[in-house]
Amino acid sequence: MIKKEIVTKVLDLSFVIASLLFLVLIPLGMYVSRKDYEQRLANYNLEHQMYRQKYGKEVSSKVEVQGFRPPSVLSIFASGLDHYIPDKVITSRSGIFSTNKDVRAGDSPALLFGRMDLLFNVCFVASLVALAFTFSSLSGERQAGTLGLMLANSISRSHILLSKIVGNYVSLLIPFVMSLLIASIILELSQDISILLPQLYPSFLIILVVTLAFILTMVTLGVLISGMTQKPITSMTVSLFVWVIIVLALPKVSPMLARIIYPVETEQVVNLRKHIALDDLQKTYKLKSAEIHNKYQHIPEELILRYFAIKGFLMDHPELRTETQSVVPLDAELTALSKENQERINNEIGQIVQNHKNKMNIQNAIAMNISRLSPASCYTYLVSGLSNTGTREFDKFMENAQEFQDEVKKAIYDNYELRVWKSGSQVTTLRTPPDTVPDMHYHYASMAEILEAGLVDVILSIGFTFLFFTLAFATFNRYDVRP
Amino acid sequence: MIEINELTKRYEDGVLALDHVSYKVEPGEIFCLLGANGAGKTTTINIMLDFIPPTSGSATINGHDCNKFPLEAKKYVSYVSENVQLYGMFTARQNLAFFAELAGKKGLKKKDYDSVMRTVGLPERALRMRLKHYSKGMRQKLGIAIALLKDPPAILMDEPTSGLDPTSAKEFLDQLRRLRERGKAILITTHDIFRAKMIADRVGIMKQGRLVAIRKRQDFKHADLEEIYMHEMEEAETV
Repeated sequence: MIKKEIVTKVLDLSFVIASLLFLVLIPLGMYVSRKDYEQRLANYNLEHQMYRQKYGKEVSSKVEVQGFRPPSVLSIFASGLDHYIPDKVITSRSGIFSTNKDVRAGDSPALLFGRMDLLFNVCFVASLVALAFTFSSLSGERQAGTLGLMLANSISRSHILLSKIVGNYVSLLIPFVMSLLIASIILELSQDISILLPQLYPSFLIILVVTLAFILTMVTLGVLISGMTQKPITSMTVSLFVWVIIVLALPKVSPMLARIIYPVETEQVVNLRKHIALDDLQKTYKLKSAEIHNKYQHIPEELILRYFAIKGFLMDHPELRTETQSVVPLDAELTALSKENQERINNEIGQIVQNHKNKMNIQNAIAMNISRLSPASCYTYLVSGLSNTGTREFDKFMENAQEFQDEVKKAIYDNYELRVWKSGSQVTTLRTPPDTVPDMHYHYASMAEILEAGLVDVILSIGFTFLFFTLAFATFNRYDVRP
Repeated sequence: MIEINELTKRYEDGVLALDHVSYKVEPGEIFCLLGANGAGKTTTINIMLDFIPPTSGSATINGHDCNKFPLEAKKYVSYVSENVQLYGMFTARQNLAFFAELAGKKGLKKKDYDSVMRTVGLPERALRMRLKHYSKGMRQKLGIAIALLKDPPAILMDEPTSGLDPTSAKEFLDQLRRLRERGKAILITTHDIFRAKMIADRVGIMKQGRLVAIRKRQDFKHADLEEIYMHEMEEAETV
């Protein structure tokens, strides 16, 4: 039975078309992704090297240390959000870092139409081919009368159904696996990438398993649709409708639905709130600072300036303390005010940011959960996650950026004390800074983290296959096989 | 061999397709069910093949209830449909091998295929031809070849001569006679009164789901079967 299904399919025109599509698109997609990665890696290396050469050793109170995110080699499988995730961190003395994304004008078409990577080829092309392979598997044979002829023998319906699923699946995998082999050879030809790289092959193997499971889900869905319809033309129409819903519509509609269900202020509004809060705090700080200075207005300004100029050496030169002794209480009060102000900034700005982040997380969770009604979305979440280009990577980037910001603050910024007072500002070197600025060591999500985050999608993917198979079984048991 | 007992089928839309129909087909007998379109002829076969369940009554093949033990019952029956399509991209041999395997006949050799092709009147070279190049008559013969390869004691045929040219129809009837001689119980549904008279040992006349009459060969051998048929139909109308 299975052999007959495979032979029938291999002799069919749909097999030729599927083979052409797979053998052209998948290797081509892999080649384009490889070249894109190589280019991004070269750009990263160049930018990183130039920055280190120019600014890496210029350690001063004015330095603005930057960190760079290297491109993930796994992004060759799914570019996902890679082109939206920032690739640069700009640290600051305040503790609040900013990010930068190099958006090239040449990328516009790619951003507009999306990239033809493995994720696209499987999610859009292979899923459509799977339905095209199977839509007439039962209804076509019913119309031709061969289904009745088969069932006139001592053979169960579940046997026929299973043969249909396995036969169609295997025949679809023949060109698919061949195209993957060619794609792997294309990868191996690269100087920078090898499928055997330790950071590549575990993810590649899991992506392969997940991909094969997704294709099985779509094949089972096609057989289910075929078993729910009487004529091949109806099966084809329903299949196309279902494909549009689960592959195109549901994943795109879910964020819009989430925005309606749980509206959240835009980033611009939140940024404005942050600026207003920061301005208010700075005004208060300046007023209080002025009050302190007024309180100590009997101290000559030259003495104050001298105190801040020699403050860093007072520990080692006790003889200098006597002449500036009167400035110490002023310094103590200003230090306490500065600390208090910094804490208030951190608290208030942090709260605004955290509130917005929490709300965005809820909105995103709603969008993701709605989209998970489609097996194509579950597949996309899994593969993009495994390729380090999924939704989690934004958080991962922020974690890395914050870690780098803290490291730089401790290593560089905390060596200097910046004092703002009524007629200007003064920088005091508290400790000798290191010779070079720290370099960012970017950590992508580990396999354990990815699998933990993708567990729900794994369970749902298995659930979809099981559901479609059970429904196909139940439907086919009542299917009217009469031509 | 084939036994239909008080078989009734009422569809979900309320249409009564079979109304307490009972008859038997013995080994070595050809039983033709005559009737207009929608009389319920094919419904009987559909129930016997477990394509649809009966509302009440039973159909058995070789003593096995077709509804309760369909897989067991179908071991003893072959089916030739009205319009044998088979797999157009396969050769005749591939089609034969596939359906023979489904019937539990594995490891058949070329001589087995050649033999069955000769029996149904198809040239041996036709074995290598793809079915899409077959005429309707050739496909019908191949349908019988499939039934013969299974070699069951009972054969169900649904309008087997429909669309056949006269020569092919004659060859087909000759084939049926040979099967009868081999002791097969053959149930044929048809509205071809002319050929039913030529081949049937008994005919059953159906109207609106009811079996209104059964006539033996001696009743219609020297009479006009069409007249008998029309008479029975009018009688049924009166009742």
